[in-house]
Amino acid sequence: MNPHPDLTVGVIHGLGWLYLLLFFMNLGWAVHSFKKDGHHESLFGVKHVPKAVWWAAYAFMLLMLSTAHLFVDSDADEFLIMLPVWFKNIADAVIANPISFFLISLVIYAAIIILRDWWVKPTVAWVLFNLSVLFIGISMTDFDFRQIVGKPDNVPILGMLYLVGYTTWLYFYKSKENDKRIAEGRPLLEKEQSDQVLVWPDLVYTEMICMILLTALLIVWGVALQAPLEEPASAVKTPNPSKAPWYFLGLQEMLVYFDPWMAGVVLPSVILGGLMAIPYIDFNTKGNGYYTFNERKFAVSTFLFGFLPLWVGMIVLGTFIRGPNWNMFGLYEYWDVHKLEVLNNKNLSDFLWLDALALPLPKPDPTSSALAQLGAILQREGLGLILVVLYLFAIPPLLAITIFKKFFIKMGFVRFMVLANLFLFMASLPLKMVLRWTFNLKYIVSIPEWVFNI
Amino acid sequence: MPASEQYWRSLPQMHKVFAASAILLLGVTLLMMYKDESRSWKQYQIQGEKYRLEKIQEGMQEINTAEYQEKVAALESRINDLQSVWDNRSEEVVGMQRKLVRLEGQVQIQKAESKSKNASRDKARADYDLAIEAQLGPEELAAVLETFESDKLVAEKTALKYQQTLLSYEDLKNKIDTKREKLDAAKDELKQAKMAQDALDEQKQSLKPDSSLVAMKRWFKQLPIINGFDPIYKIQYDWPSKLEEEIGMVKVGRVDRCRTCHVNIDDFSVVRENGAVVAMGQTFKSGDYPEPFCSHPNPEVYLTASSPHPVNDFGCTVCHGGDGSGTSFQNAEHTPADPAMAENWAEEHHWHSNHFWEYPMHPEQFIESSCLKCHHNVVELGINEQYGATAPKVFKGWETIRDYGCFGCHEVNGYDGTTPIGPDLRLEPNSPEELAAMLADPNMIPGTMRKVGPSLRHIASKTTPEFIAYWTEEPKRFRPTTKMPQFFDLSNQHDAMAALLQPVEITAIAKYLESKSEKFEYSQPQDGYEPDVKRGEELFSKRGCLACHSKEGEAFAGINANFGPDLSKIHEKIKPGEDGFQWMYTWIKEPSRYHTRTKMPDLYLKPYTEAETYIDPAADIAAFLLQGGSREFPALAEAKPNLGLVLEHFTEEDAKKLGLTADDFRGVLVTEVVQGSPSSRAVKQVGDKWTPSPIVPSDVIVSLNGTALNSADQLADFENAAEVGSEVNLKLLRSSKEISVRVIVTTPADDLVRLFLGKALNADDLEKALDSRRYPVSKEMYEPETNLGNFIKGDEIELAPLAFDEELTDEEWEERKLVYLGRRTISRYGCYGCHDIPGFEEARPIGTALQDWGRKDTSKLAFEHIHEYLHHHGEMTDAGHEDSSHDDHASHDDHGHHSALGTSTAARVEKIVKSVKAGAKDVSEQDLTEASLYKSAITHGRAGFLWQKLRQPRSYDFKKIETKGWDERLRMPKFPFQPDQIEAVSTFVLGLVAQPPAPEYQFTPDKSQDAIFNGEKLLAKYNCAGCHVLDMNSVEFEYDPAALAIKGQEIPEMYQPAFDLLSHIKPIGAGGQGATGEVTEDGSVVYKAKGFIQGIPDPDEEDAEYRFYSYRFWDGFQLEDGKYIMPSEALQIAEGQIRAFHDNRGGDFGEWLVGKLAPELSKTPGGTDYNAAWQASVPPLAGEGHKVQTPWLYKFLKNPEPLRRTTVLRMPRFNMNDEEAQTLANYFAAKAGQSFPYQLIPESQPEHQIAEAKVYEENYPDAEHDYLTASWNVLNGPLCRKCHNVGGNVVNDPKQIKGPNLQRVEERLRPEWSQLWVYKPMWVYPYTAMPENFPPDKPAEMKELFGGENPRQAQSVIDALFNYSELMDIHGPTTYNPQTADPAADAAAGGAE
Repeated sequence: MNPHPDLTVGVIHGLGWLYLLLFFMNLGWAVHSFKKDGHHESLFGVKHVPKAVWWAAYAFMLLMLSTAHLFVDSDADEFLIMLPVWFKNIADAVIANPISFFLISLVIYAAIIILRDWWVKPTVAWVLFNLSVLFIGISMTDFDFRQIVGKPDNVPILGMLYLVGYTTWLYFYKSKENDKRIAEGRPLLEKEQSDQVLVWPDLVYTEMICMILLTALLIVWGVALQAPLEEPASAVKTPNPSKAPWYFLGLQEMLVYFDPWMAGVVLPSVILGGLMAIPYIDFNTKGNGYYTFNERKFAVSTFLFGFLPLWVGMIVLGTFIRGPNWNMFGLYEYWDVHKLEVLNNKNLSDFLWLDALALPLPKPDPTSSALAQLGAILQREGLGLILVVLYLFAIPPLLAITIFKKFFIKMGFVRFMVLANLFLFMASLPLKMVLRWTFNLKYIVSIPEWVFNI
Repeated sequence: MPASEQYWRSLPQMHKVFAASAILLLGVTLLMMYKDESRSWKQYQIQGEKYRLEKIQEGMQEINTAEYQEKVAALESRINDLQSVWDNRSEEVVGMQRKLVRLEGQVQIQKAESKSKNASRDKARADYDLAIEAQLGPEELAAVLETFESDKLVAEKTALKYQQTLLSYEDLKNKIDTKREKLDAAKDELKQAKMAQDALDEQKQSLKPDSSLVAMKRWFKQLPIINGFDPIYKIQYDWPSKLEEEIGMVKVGRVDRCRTCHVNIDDFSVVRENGAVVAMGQTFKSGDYPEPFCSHPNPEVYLTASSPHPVNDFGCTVCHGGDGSGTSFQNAEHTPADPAMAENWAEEHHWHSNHFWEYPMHPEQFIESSCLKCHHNVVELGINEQYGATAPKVFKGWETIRDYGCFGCHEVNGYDGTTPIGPDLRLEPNSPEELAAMLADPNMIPGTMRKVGPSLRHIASKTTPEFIAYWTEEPKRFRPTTKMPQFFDLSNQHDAMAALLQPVEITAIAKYLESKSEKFEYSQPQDGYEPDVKRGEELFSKRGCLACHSKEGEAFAGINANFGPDLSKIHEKIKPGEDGFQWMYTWIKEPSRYHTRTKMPDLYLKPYTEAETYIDPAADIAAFLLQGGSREFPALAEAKPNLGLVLEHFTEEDAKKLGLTADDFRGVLVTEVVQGSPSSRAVKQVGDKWTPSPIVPSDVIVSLNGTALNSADQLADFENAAEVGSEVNLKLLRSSKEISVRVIVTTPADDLVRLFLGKALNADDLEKALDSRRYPVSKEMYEPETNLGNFIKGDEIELAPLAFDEELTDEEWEERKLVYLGRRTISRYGCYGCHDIPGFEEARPIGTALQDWGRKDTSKLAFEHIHEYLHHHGEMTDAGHEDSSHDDHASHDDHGHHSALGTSTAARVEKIVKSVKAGAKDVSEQDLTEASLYKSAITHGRAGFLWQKLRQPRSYDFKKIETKGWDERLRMPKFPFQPDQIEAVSTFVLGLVAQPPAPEYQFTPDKSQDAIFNGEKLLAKYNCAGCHVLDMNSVEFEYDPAALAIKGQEIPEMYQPAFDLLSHIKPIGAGGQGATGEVTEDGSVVYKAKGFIQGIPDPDEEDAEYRFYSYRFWDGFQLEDGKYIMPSEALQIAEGQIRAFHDNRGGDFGEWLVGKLAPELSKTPGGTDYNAAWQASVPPLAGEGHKVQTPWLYKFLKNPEPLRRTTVLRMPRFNMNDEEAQTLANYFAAKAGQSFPYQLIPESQPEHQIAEAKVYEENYPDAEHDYLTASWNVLNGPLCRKCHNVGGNVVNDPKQIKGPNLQRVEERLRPEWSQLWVYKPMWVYPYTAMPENFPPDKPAEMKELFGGENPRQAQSVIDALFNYSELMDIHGPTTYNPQTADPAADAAAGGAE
C-alpha cells in the first residue's frame, strides 16, 4: 500500500543480478591479480599466499550477497540489506547544500590532480570502481534515489559519469608513464611503440568493430530502456522542474547565479570563443601528440577545473540534485513540491543604498531627459560598475606583474589579456556562487530598466 | 607509402573480435525483432483468434443436428437425381449449348469493338471542341466535324450490332436455363439451408483454412518481415471525427487503437424473431472469457450500429478515458478499480500509475461520469423507458446534489455564455426583477434551482434564537433525518481557539437572524375556534401531509416519506404560545406567504362545515402538530471574558526541561496561546513605553495581579469574575527570567470583532472604531437620498451607526457587535446558499465553481496533510467518534492523540487489500472502492480528494490550523452522506469537465423526449409520486395450469371495438406483462402482472398454502393458452405462489391511504372495501396522457379545481410557474405517446358530425330526432344523470355515489379514452363504481333511440359529451325520459371515474 516503497521484490532481484555481474567481474580480476600481483610472504601464518586471495574472498562475498538478494521472493519490507537512515540523512544534508556540494566537487577535482600517481594504479582504480558500483547498488534500496537515478532519461548520464571517470583515468595513467619517462630521459611511450600510423587494416578494422559494437549497444539500450512518457507539452503548464537537455544543465545552473542574458548569451559565447582561441593563446609547444601532465600543468588543470567541477559537476547537480521549484534535494530525499527555500537575494545597490546609507534607491524619472535618467542609474549602480570594470581591467595587469609574470613575458600583451579575461570569465561563476552563498548577493550591477544585470 | 606486411594488432585476434561482435550484433538484432514480434497486442490477437475459432466450431456443431443433416442429405439426393436427368439431356439442348458458347465469344468481340469505336468518336468530338477553342476557320471546322460525324455513325452501328448479339445470347441462355430450372432451384434450396453453416465455415476458412495451400499462404504472411506488408495481425484504428481531445491546450483528433487488443469487443450475437432483431447479447460473455477477449456489455446502448453510441462514430476513449493511441497495457493508461487490482496488474503487466497522462481511464466505479459530457439533462441516464437506467450512479449523484443543494455554494454552470457545456445546476435569480433582467439579456440564461433550505426571512415569527443556535450547532441532533449539513464541532474545531470562538459564532448567527427577521403577518382561525387535536390527526393523515412528511405515531405506521422534514418533533422547535400556533396555522394554510419559493403546496385547507360543525382543518392540524408543546433550548452562549491561555499543570520534570532550577519551580505552564486573544496582545513596560510582548507557549505564569498562580482552575475562576476592559498584571518566567506583562481582559466575541474588523481597517482606525463604537462613517453617507450600502459594501455596515449622531449604550453596542459577527459568520459559511436570509440578496456562492472540476489540475487541489491524517485517523463510526477496532497506526505515533479524529484509515485499507490478495471472497465492493479512493487521496487524485472532502471535509485542515488564521480555516460543512452517496456525488462531479463534444454528439432529445425528461425533473421536484401511482405495482406469481387453472376469456366479437381501444390505451402484455417465459420445475407458469392487493390473507391462517391474497389486475395479459385476463379481473393467489411484489413507481401515500380507508369505508363492519377506498384516495396517473387533454391539465395544475366528489383529499396547488405546468402537462401526453400540446377533437368537427349523421340517417330513416339531438337525449337519459350532473340535471340522491360533472368532459378528456371508459369502465379503473351502461350483449334501456342498440348509444354519448356546450346552447337543460324505461336498470350503481 505504501506508494513509495523503498524495497520491492523486483528491486531486490535486480540488485542480485548486479552483484552477480560484479562477482564475475571480480572473479576475472582475481585471476588477473593471481597472474600479476604476486604473493604475500606470509599471511596469518600461511606462507606464500597469492595476493589474489583477497580478491577471491571479496568475489565470494559478492556471490553471497547476490544469492541473498536473488532468493528473496516475498516480504520485501523485511529485507535487511539497505542503506541506513542516518547515512541518508547525512548524505542528503551534505549534497543538498550548494556550498558543500561545490566544495566536494572542488575536493574531488583537487584530489584527482594531487593524488594522480596513486589513483591511476589499476588496483586502486579497480577498488574505486567497485566502491562506486557498491555505492550505487546499496543506494538503489532507497525509493527516491531509484526514482531519480533509475529514470530511463538519467541512466545514460550515470553511464556518462563512468565514461568521464575512465577517460580522465586513462589520461593520467598514460601521462604518469610518460612523465616518468621524461624524468628518466627515456623516449616517450608513443615514440617507442610506433611512429607509424597503420591505417589498413588496423585502423579501419578497429573502427568497423567499434561501429558494430556501438550499434549493438544502441539497440540494447533502445530495447532495455524505454523513453519515459511524460505529460504533453503545454504552453500554460510547464513541468516542475523544467530542465534543459542534460548537456545544457551546466548552463541552466548558471541561470541561478546570473541574469539570463549573462548566463544564456554572454557566458556561452565566451566559452565557445575561448575554446576556439585556445590554439592561439597556447604558447606551450610541449605535449603535442603524447600524454603528459607535468609539461602542461597549467593548461590541464585549468581545463579540468572548467570541465569537472564547473561543467560535469553542474550537470550532475542539474540532473540528480535539482528538483521541483529548482530546489536542491539530497539523493535520498523525496522531491516534494512543497519544499521552500528562503530566496531573499539582494543587489549590491541594495546593500549600498538601503543598508549602508539607509537611503532609497535613486530611481530614474521616466519623464526626465535620457541623460538625467542615465545619471540616476549610474548613481545607483556606480559601485557595481566600478567593481566590474576593475575586475576585468585592473586584475589582468596585476596578474601580469605578479603571479603570471612569466606568462606575460612569454605571451605578449594581447595574448595575455585574452587569456586573463577568459580566465576571469571562468572564475566569475565560482566567485558569483560564493558571493551568493555568503551575502545573498543577487546582482553586482542591476539595471532592470535596460534589462542589464551582472 | 607502399603497403607493408606490418600489423599493429594480431590479425587473427582481430578476426575473432570481429566475429564475436558480429554475432553480438546479430543477437541484438534478433532480440529487437523478438521484442517487436512479441508485443502484447499480437499475442492478444492470436489468442482472440483461438477463442473465435472455438466459438465458430461450437456454432457449427450446434447447427449440425441430425435433423439438419437429414435435410441436407435429402436435398443432395434430389440434386443428384435432377443432375442425372440433366446429364441425359437431348441432342437439341446440347446443340443449343454449343451455340451459346459461340455466341458468348461473339458478344465479347463485339463489346470490345464497340468500346474502341466509341473511343474514336469521343476523340473526334474532343478534337472538334479543341478546334472551336483554337478558333479555326469554318472550313477546317467543317472537316473536323465531318470526321466526328462519320466516327459517330460507325460507333452507333457497332453498338447496335453488339446489342443485338447480346440479346440473342441472353435469349438462348434463358432457354437453356428454363430447361434446368428444377436443378437450379434445388441447388438454391440447399444453399439456403446451408447458409448459416456456410457463413460460419467461411469465417473458419479465413482463420484456419482447410486447404493446405491457403494455410501455407496464411502462415507465410505471418513470418517476420513479410508480415510488414499485408499483416494478418495489425493495429486496429477508430477515428471518431469531431470528438477531439485536448492535449496540452491543443485540440487534436482522437485516435483509438483499443480494439487492437480488445479483439472481440464488438462481437455480438443477435437474437432474431421473424427476421427482426429482438435482442442482442455478448458473444464473448464477460466472466466466461478473460479480458481483453470479452464483448462489450449492453450492446443495445453501446458499440452496435443501431445503438446510440456506435463504435465507429464514438471510439472508446471519449467515454472510457485513457490513451487511445497506446498499444500496450501500460500505454493505454488503464486504471485499476482497487489497490489489490493495481498490485495484480503491476505483477502481471508491469503496470504503474502514470500521472502524466491528463485523461487516465476511468476506473470502473466512475465510468459513468463520462456520460455528462453529452447528457447535460442527466435525467435520461436514470429514467429512460427505452434503455432503462443506463447510468444510475451519476444520476443518483445529480439527485443527491439537487436534494442537498450543493449548488448553493458551488456553482455548476452548464453554460459558457449560452453554449451548453454540461449539466446546469444554478440557483435561480434572487428576485423576479433579477430574473426578468436575465431573461431580457440574450447572453444570459438564468438558473432554475431553488434554494433547498427554508426561508429565514421571517424566522423570528417561527422559532426562538435558542432553537436556531441549538439547531445550527448540530442539526442532526434535533432531527436525525435532516439534510442540513453540520458546520460546527468538526475536525478543525477541536482546538482551544475553536472552543472560545465557535459558541460566539453560533450565538451571533442566531442574533443576526433574529434581529434581521422581517415582520410576518400571521393569519388566524376564526375567533373562538377551538381546534380539535383528534380531528387534526385524522386530517393530517388524510389530507396528504404524509406524502412528503413523516411523523412518529401508531396512526402513521407504514408510511415514511422523507421529501419534507420529519414532523415528529416539530412542536418542540416552534415558538411557544399563540405566536407559534398562528405561525403553524398560517404556514399550513398558505405556505407561500411565509416562504415565497417553498415547494410545499397549498392544500386548500379551507374551513368548511360538516354536519353543522364549523371545521377549520388548518387549525386542527396545527394544533395536532403542536401537541406536546415547545421545548426549552439551552440559552445562547454568552462570551465570557477570557485571556486565551491554555495552561497545563506544571511539574518538576517540565521545569527541568525548561532549564529551571528547583527553586524556580512554581506557577503554571502555558502550552498554547490562542491567536488574537488578549494574551497575544500582552504588553510590557520598557521605560515609559508599553511595548508588545505576547505571551508564548513555554512561558510559566507565576502570579496574577500579585497573587501566586498555582492551577489552571484558579485562572478560570479569575476569568469568570473579571470585568471586560480591566487590566491584568501577570508575572511570567520566560527563559528562566521573570518578566511582568499587562493584559487587557476581553471576551472572545470582542477578539473576533477585532480580527474581522482588522481586515477592513488599519490598526489605528480599528482601535478608534472600537472606542467610538462605530464603524468610521462620514456625514455625507447619511444625507437623505443616499444609501449607506453604497458606501460600505462589506458586512461592516452592521457596525455603522443608524444615524450619524447616534450614541449607543453598552448593551446596544454589544448587540450590534454580535449582529456584525453573525453577518460575518453567515457570509463565511455561506448559509444563504440554501436559505433566503435578509441582507444577503446579492451575495454570491462561496464555494469553488464545479462546472469544470472534473479536469481541474490536481496540483491545484490543496491536499495538505491528508496522507498523514489518513495514516493516523479517518475512521469514524456513525456517532462521529473514534472507531477503536483495528488500529495499527495510532498506537506508535504521536499524531494519534486526537481520538475524536478516529482511527487509521490506512490500517483499514491495508487490511482490506491484504485480505483480497489472500483470496478472501467476502470483501465488499464498498470496501474495495474505499480502498481505491484512499489510494487516490494519498496519491493526489481527484476522486480521492472528493471522497475525503465529502467524508470529512475539514480533515484537509489537519495540522494546518496551527499556521492558519481563524477565518482561513476550511468551511465546507459535513453532509450526512452515506458512502454510496459520496461515490455518486463524486461520479457526478468528476464528470463535470466542461468539454462538450461537437453539438451533434450531445444528446438532444426530440420534442416528446424533452417533455418526458423535463417532466421527470418536475415530478421529482414536486414529489408528485409521493401521492400518485405513476406506474401500478406488480406481482410475480406462479400458477399451475393443471391444478388451479386461471380461467382466461376469449374476446367476444361485440367487444372488439372496446378491446381495440384498450389495446391502444393499455396494450395487453406491454412491459413484460403476462407469462415471463419461466416455468418452474413442477410445471407452474410464472406470470407477472400489474395490479393491486384487494384482500390480504387471514392473519390467523398459518399455512402459506392457504394464505390468500386477492389481487386485482390493472392491465390485461394473455395466458399461455392464448386466452386473456382482462383488467379488473381479480385472482386469489396463495402466499406460497407469490414470487415477489414489485413496487413499480410512486403512490406510497395513495396506497397507504387506501389501506387506511378500506376498513373505514366498508359497509360491513370489520370488512374492507378496497374499491371504495381507491375511489376516495389519490387517482393513479398511469396512462394519464391517454385520458386528459393537455390544455386542461395545464390549467388544472395551475389552479386545481375539485373534480371528484368521492375523495377525502384534494389536489393541492403547487408553487410552480407557467412553464413548469406546461411541461408537466406535456409530460403525460408524451409519456402516453399522445399528441401535445394541442389536440383536435374530431367529435366536435363538422366533418365528423356530417359523416355520423349520414350513417345515422341510413340506419334509422324513421328516426324522430337528428343525430346530435338523439345523442344528447342518450346523454341526458336516465343512465348518466343518475350519478352525474349533466344537462342541467343535478344529482341529489344521497344514496348515489356522485360522479363528476359531465360538463367538463368536453375540454378535459380525450375522446378515445372516454369511449373506452363508457364501453368498459372497469378496464380503465378496475376499482371504479361506474357501471357498464351500454353492454353490447344486452338490449338498450332507451329503446327508441338508435334502434335500442347499446353499442350505438355508447358511441353517441361520446359525441354528445364532446359537443356539450353547443348542444346545451341549442337544447338548454334537458331531461330525457324514455317511455319504456326498464326499472331494473335504475338499480345499477352510480358512477365515479
